[in-house]
Amino acid sequence: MEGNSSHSKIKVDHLEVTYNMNGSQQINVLNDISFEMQEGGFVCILGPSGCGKSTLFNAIAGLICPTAGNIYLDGQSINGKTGLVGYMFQKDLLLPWRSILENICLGTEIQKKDQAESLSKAKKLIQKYGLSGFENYYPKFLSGGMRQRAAFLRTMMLDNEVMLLDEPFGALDAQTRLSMQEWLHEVWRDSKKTIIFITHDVDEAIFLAEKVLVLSHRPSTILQYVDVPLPEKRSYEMMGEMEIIKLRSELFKIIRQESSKSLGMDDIEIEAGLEKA
Amino acid sequence: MEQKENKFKDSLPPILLILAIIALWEVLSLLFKVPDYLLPRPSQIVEVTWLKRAVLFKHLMVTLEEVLLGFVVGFAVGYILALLMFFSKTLRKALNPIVVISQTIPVIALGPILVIWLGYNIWPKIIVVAIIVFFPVTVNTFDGLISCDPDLITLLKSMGANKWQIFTKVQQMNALPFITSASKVAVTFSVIGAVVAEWIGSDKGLGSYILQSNAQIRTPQMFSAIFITSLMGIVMFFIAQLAENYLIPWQKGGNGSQKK
Repeated sequence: MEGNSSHSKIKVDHLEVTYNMNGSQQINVLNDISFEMQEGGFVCILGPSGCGKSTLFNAIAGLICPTAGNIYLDGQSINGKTGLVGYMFQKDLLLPWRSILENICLGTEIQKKDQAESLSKAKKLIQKYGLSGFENYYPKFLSGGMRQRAAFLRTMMLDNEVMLLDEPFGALDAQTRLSMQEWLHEVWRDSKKTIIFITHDVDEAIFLAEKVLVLSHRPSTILQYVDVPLPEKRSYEMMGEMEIIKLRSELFKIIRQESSKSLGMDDIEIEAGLEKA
Repeated sequence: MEQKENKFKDSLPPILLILAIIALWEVLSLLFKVPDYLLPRPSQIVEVTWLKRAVLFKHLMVTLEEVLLGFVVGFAVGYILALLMFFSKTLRKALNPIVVISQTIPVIALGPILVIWLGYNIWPKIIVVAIIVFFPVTVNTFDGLISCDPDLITLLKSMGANKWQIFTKVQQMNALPFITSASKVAVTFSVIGAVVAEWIGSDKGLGSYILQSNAQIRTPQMFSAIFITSLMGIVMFFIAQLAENYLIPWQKGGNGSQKK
């Protein structure tokens, strides 16, 4: 098994996560999830809300231990190990008492990397990715889009080759969202990072990803793992191509079916379970 | 530049109002010939303050010492209690009622027994002040630590942070504004605490001077001491406010956008 996973960047192998609620009741969130990603790939995960997308990320990030199965990074099991992959959330989670520059250096500071080196690296990233002039501002003076950019650079600073992005543009307005998608795509092509991106926006998934992974309602299994027939360099005009329209309506159909299965009732329980975990 | 002008504009109305009240007081007292043992005129209070400046200064220094030492002791105890309650659920449950009970005991009743235990010295005063000061510090510090966004903690964990890093880089910083506002409350109360403590057993300090002047029906002298006490509280509050501005610059609005 180890041999098989050696050529893929990240491999999720028969992953299962079950939460214990109040000791007796059990909720199976992820059930037998297996997929692989090549280095430098971009996968979007689509699924109805409450399907355990974030649980999958928490498992990959080592924040929760899988009930069964394994996660491999470069062929090594990383179950329960934190700090090995970059993780970015829907909220920017910038620390209000730190300047943008200090926020971007938070991770390197925690991992006790050379501070002078980190600072010059952060400054380069800020220059390159359109935040120059704002290094010394407190986050509250930046727009939502800029804050998310800063949060992304903070994740990038850690040099993890794999980045997990959990609906990073979910809280932005439509306009900002589009420009952030273009920005992210450019950064990805430029940086050769391996990106897994959670969204429930089908268009966002198609525009960004090389492959789209669709999860079912809980207990989540993989319904689809499809290629997006678009070139690496893309534009919004390509979204009108026949193949894409077909893929889009197909994905919409699956998502809608799955969403109707979840009536939201037990989402609250899951939240409570997560807090306990 | 604009900010400075605004600040001046903002402070003008209260200053004018206070001056008007003092002027009215002076005029009405003269007009109705109010005897000074009942209510001295502001000009008489100023006069007495100037005449007795040496004595008042001596008493002021005594009270100031009690306030500062009491504040430091109370703050330290309050902060440590908050940490204990934050890090241990058992201690939280155990300490919570005691913290509340400590505030329901009238300190003025506690004073005499403290004098019997500790003697006729500065310690009973320090303890009375500390009892008043520790409470807001404990309650607010604890709230500040516990109210930290759990997602921030998740973020730090995902970066591989340990508990100490999470505490120093996030929880403690999150609590800082809570701690500084508690300090503003505590520092003002501490002046009252010291004065009350002096009433219980002391022959030094502004509090005991107020009591002595009252006993001798030297009302202008008493008012003078009261005003100095109040002024002391205001100055302490102002210092706490300056400390807050310095410690949590990110909460300032407007032109404070850029750091350093």
